[in-house]
Amino acid sequence: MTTTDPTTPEAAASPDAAAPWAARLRRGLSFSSIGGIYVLLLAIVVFSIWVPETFPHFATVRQILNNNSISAMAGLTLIVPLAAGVFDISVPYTMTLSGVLCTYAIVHNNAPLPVAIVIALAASVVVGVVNAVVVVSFKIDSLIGTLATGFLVQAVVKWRTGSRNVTDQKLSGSFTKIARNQIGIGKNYSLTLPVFYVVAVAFVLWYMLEHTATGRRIYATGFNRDASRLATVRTERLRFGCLVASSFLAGITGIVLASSLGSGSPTGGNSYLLPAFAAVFLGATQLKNGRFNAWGTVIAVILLGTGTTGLGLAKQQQWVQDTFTGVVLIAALAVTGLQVRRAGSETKRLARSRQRSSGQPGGGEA
Amino acid sequence: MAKQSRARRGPRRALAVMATIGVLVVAACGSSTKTNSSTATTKAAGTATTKAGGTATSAAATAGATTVAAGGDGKAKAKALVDQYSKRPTSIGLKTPVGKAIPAGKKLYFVSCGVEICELEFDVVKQATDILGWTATKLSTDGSPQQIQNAWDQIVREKPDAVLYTGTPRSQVEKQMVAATANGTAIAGCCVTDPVSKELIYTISTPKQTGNLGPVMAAWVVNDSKDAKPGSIYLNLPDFPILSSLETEYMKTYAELCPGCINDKIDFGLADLGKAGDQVVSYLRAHPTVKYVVESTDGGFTGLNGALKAAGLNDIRIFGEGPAPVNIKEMQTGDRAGSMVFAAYELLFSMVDATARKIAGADVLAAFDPPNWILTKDNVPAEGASKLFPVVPDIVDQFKKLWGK
Repeated sequence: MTTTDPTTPEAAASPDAAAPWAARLRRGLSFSSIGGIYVLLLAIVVFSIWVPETFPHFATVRQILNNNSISAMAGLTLIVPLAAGVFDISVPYTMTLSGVLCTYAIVHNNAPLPVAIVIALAASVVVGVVNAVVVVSFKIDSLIGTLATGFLVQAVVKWRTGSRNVTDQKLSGSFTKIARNQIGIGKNYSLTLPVFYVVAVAFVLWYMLEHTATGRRIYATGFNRDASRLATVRTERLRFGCLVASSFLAGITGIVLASSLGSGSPTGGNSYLLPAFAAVFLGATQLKNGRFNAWGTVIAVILLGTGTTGLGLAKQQQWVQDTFTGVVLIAALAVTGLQVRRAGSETKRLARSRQRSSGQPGGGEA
Repeated sequence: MAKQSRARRGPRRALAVMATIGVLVVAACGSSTKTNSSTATTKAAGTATTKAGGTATSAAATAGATTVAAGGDGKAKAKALVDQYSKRPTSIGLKTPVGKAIPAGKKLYFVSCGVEICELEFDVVKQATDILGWTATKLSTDGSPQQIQNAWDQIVREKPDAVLYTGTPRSQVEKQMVAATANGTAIAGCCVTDPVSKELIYTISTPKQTGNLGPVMAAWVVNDSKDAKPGSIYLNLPDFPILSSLETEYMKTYAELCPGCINDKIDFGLADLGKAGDQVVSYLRAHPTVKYVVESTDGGFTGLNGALKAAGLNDIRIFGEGPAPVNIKEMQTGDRAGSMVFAAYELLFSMVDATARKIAGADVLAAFDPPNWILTKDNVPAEGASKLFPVVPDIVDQFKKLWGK
């Protein structure tokens, strides 16, 4: 890819490549890059002083990671479409559908676990294709289009389950192990499998978005669709694929959720809509300023989880925990907004000075 | 340049620091404005001192209960109550036949509340109406006031002979209820705080009846624990007014049976239920002597088990009331210690009975006290994992007899 569009990641990354390693390290460790980690460290110190008897223990780490892993998976699911500039509101509903179909196949059709998983994932991919057709082919705004398909998915769930939990002894065996099995050293130093799923999914997304041409094209599409199209990026195909991919990931997350619940809940995934979006937007302020990214999302989930868990251990009321989430989100987005505006001004200033030094008149056109 | 860059970073840092300070100030405000339990200290389990706080409210503390020696008396009372309610009831005490022919071919509408238990209840209603030769129609809603009102508007338009509903406050559908009554529709409600009136001919699972579960639940915890002073956390759902009396009775009885024991509660809004597992884990870690979690309604806290297990809290005993099939399954697998049964068959058949008596021109009987029964792994019926089941095994035959069928 040899695009010279300044909005593409290659162009954006080129100064980085030229910069000496010390400067890059300094930039990488700067507050503007990993502010969330500094706030996280501050929170750890504050809570360790505030509730020394319960907070500074491995049990807290385990609680934060185990209890936020599905939120993290839901957040990671949203990264792909958001990176391409597409909202996918149907993700929580697809999670519900996937969990319900998987459990339904096991309970009512006596399907072996692998078959049930394939059925659930296939249905999720179908949802993704419908999303993509609605958004890309019908050119309906993604926020509205995926909201509509979310309702359709919910309708299928209600039709299939009659709004009842899908539950049976058959789900007690290998199905619940998907989410409840633990890995670690001994009983006290172990984490549930979803924590490792999060790491795996984040790694795949990080590699795909940061280290492949497809990932860069996805970002380019998200930054400026028209410019990317003019640079021969197949933006519509990428948007189509991103919506299918997010539904597929939502399907996986839904199965893990159902396993953790031990049943197919007809509303199980719905409550993940806001936490997942909060994590993704907060995550976009970390590591890659203004860019939706996998590890930033993981940091965001851990930061929010640490705050709510710490406040819980400090016996604070629920509204305080919600306030924490809201304030952190607003602060992070405000900081990023400031940075983006400053970066824009800086770019314009540099462009003007270059034009002046090359003796071209009319610098205002830049 | 470097100076300029530092100057630029200033506002960012300031904003971040302000945000952090803001959060901590808010936290401090939360701490200072929380309920009186925040400063309450109760002696738990002999030597441990636990501070009850946060959203938790300590009844023992608020009642000013002084530490009384571990009540052998309380344990004995608890055991007596548990023994009494561990036996499966065999009768609901209804003996008055309708005495008049119940006309067939009537239309009964059931307003579903949108949660699983309501969907399951319709199956029971259908069994009852099939016996009477009536047709039953379910009006599905998601439980939101808007959809509930839509369902009641449909009732006013279509003029069924009878309507059954659960949980909806009368104030929400007052206008429609008056109009439906004017149409000649007989209305019976379950699990509501509204009294019987011209429009509402019968209610069951009233606040008093629901409150009756509280002492039994408290007794179960006290009796189950080998600890002289077991601590318990009660998970309350204030969105359901019908559960208010249950909370009151549970907290009061627990304090009586186990004076000085940790006796806390956490209020959950419906929107917060997704985070309930994490909240409870935090509470239990902050109160390591509390080993009992008591749910105001089992179906509301799906996922709690998984959260406890993921946190390694494997010694926590969960007890509640109104188990859905998923909770029965948990009981069967040992993931839930027990629960007070929800007598769905008895309640719903009695509601159909009330409307049948009204339509037949007979006197509507006063609501009986629903049968209470403690379910544990040892006595839970196998079929409970997939559907509702009668508490009184031959309850359907008993109603058939009353109806002359």
